[in-house]
Amino acid sequence: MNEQMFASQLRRALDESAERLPLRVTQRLESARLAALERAHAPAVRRRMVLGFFSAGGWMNDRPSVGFRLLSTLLPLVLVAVALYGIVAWDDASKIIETAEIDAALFLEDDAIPISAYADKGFGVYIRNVRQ
Amino acid sequence: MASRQELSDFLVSVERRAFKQAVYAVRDDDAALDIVQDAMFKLAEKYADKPTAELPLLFQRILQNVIHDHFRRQKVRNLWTVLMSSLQSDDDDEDRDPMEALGAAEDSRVHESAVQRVERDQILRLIDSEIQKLPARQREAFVMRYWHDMDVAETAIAMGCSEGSVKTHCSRATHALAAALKAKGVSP
Repeated sequence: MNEQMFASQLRRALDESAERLPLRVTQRLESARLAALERAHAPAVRRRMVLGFFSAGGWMNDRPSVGFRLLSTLLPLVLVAVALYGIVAWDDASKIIETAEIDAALFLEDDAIPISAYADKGFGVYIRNVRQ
Repeated sequence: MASRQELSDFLVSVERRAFKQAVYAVRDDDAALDIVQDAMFKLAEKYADKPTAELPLLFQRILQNVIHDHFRRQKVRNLWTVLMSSLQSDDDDEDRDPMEALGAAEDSRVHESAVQRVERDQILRLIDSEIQKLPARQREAFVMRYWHDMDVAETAIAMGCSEGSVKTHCSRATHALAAALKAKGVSP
């Protein structure tokens, strides 16, 4: 028996099998078909205008549209970038304030270093070495 | 453009085969019904304005996509089920009544009067079971090519592969089925 003949015999068997589906299944298929036909002639354009951005056409059981998927991918990335920038800016600002406070404290101490000391080259080297 | 009647006729002509095709893939009647319904909705919503001649190929592609989506969702669901079940105890089993399962089996049993019909049912079930056992790609190619009467080019488009692959899949599926049914002494 060649491939085509065997396939056609199987096809007949499969058709027969499909004809013997339980009533529960055929009824459910019929109701699904009727519901689908209703959807085919529903005002889909209006639905798409409302949900167009969030679904690829249809109600909520559809896959999300490209716009929605793009937004859901990009929005968290943008939020993370903004948050990182904020943290860096806040860290820089706090470092500047901290340094300014130390400098101010140095100048305001009772036994503060006289202004003339800053003109001394050796004192400048000493300060740099201490900071390192 | 397909009229309502043409679309309806088309869906009538494919719904049973589509259901069987989905059952072969997912091995669950309820899931298969959901899949066919989804495919019908998508076809009706998005492609109802297409010519009738294009509907079979479009429907097959939609059906294949919905089946693949089902497996993707099932994969995610299984992951969570495994995670959650590892946190639960096995006490639930004690609440189950074994008679419920027996009752359900009784209900679903078809009482046929004719012996021949019972025998034929058994043969058809065997054929179904052998088709289910085929590798997914071989089964898809075989069903589309020989049951849905699609040509090699259409099957290749629906499966997203080359025509050569379709021929190979079909040939392997046919030989595998012939060998399996012969081994069981079944003739379709």
